[in-house]
Amino acid sequence: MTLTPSGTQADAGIVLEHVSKSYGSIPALNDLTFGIPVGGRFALLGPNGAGKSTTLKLLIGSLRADTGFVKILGSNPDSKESKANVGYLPEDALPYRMLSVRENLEYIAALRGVLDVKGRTDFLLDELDLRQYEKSNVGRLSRGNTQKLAIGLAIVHSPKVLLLDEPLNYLDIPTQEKVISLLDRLEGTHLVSTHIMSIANRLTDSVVMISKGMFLWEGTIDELKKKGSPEEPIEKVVARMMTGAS
Amino acid sequence: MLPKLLKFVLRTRFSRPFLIFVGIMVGYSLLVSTTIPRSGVDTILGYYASGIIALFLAMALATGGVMVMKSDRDYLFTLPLSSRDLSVSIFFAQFIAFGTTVLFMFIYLAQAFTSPLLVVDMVALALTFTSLGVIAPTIQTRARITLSIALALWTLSSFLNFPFTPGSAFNGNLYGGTATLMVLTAVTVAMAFRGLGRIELDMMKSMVRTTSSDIKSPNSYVGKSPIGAIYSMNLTNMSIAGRMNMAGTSRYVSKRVKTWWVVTAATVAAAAYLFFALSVGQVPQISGTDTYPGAILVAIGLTFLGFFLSQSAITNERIWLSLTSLPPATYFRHLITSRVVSLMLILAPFAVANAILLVMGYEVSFAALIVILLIIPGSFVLEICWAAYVAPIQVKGDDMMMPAQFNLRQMATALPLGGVIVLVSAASIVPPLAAAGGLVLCAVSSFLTLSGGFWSRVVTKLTENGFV
Repeated sequence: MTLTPSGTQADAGIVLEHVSKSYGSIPALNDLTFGIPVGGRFALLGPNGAGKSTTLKLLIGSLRADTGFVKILGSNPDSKESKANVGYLPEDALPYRMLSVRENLEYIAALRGVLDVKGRTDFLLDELDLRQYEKSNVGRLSRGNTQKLAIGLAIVHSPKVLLLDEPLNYLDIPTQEKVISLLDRLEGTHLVSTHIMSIANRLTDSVVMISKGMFLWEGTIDELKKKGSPEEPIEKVVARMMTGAS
Repeated sequence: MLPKLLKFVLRTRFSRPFLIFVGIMVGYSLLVSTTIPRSGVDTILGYYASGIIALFLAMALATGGVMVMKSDRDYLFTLPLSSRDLSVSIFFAQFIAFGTTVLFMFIYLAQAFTSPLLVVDMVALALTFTSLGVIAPTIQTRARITLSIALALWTLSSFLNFPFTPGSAFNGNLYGGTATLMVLTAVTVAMAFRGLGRIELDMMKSMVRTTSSDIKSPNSYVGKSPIGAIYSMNLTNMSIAGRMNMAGTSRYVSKRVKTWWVVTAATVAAAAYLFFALSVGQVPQISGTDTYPGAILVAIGLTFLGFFLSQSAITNERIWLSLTSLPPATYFRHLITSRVVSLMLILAPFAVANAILLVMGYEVSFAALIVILLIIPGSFVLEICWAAYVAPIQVKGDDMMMPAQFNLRQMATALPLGGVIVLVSAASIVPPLAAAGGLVLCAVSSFLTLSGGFWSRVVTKLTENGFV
């Protein structure tokens, strides 16, 4: 998919075109280009320091690219339209620790202009098994319950584009299944940054692989599997590809 | 083993630049204290000494804690170390951390050092502050606050010439005050070492604390607009947060309090302030005007309160939520405005009290009004901007654990406070100059609050500092 700043393809959910970003003298992304179509479910794979988190931060507009451009559903990440469309879950996400679980959900729903704040909050409390903690101070929640709340906060406004960084961290297996089922039911474009192939496999059907801030490979998980022998674990295939890049 | 352990504890708690800074501060303080003219204790110095000692004693006990990191709990405490060596090392680290503050705040008391006993008293005070910080976490919150208030009132009773208080030695009762301090120091140091001797157990206990606490009267955001939600959150509750160094302890503090409760408390305090001024506060004329030292002391106290309130605006912020919901300039503009309104609600009773005093002829209340209406609100916004742009620190972790590490960047957070204190002090001497300074502060604050470009850069700063 080739895209231009002025003529972004209509079916592009997420676009990064020749994006470079450095932290001082340390390069994080180097001429990174990839695109995800509307409705696509992609995993963002890469070794430590590949630039996955930086990519997500550029997509939510909290960082700006030094060069190149980033578009979400055709809008700049820091535009109002983009903010309305995007839901974001960072790694080790921390909600407002001075608020209760319900207050967090209601506050962010109100901030995002959700029409039925109460209904949406109640729905998420039940879906994420947080009802018993709704009045609990978030600062005192277990890490697993904090992660569930963070997931709820990321999807409280039913975003059209969902950016998730290690979404199943800290969750026990039954909760993982619940969250996977919830995310499966959400429509829209999903980009999931993860190190764990089994999670990528459950939450997505395609992969964008980056290494050292550069694009490495893009394709479906089935295509990725075919790059190795039938008995070879997919992790080995991915490791080989990433190592080959370095 | 002790020297090695001591070195390890210091190096894991303090950055090298911080230790160099401490060294410079110690050198500077010693230089000033040895060259300052020995004029003995006068009325103003006596007030200052008792006030500052009361404040430090109360704060050390109310907000202290042990300077222990998570890695200590996970690794250091599992090693076969002598608990005596461990206690000495941690106590020394606490002493170093707090020493700079004590030296700086108490440096001008050196002019009272007409007797060598007062130097001994200074050392005793520093040990007491450090020890109270260590004892603090072993006492239940309610009892700790009660004891802190009692300690402060006891110290302040030296104003009434009571000879046996921790501040009396600096208030004309050298022997009674020194004897009191010696006893207080002996008791608190002994208690501190007893507590440090079982620090591993106390810290381990905190690991199994898994109970959650409910928020008793939660706020509802149903039916609120995005901007309405921001005002609702910040006007219904107040939060004080920050990374504090009290009695050698670096800790994250984050407390949520109902606004009406704080405003009620402020009203009672302002009424007491007014009553005190009208009944016993008037002292002999200084500088040819009716003087009420309490006016400036209270103004300085409110300045500190404003500073602590300002820190919570950023330290408790979650920009992955707020700034993915609204544009940064919009969000921060309303966040800051709501915080200023909330601050003004606390300051209003004091403004009224000072206006009454001004009408009754207390000219110093004019200075207090300048501080309350111009300098504090103006500096409050600048302190938020400073915290966001220069030294952003986020309260992340479990408040049971101390971050316990010191570096110069953290100290930079408090830098604007120094300038504000200078301006507040100037208010009592040259009110028009202070008023002009206050107006400039308000103008700069307004400009920054409305500047989209500034907040856009702040978002990058916060992101690069791990806020997302």
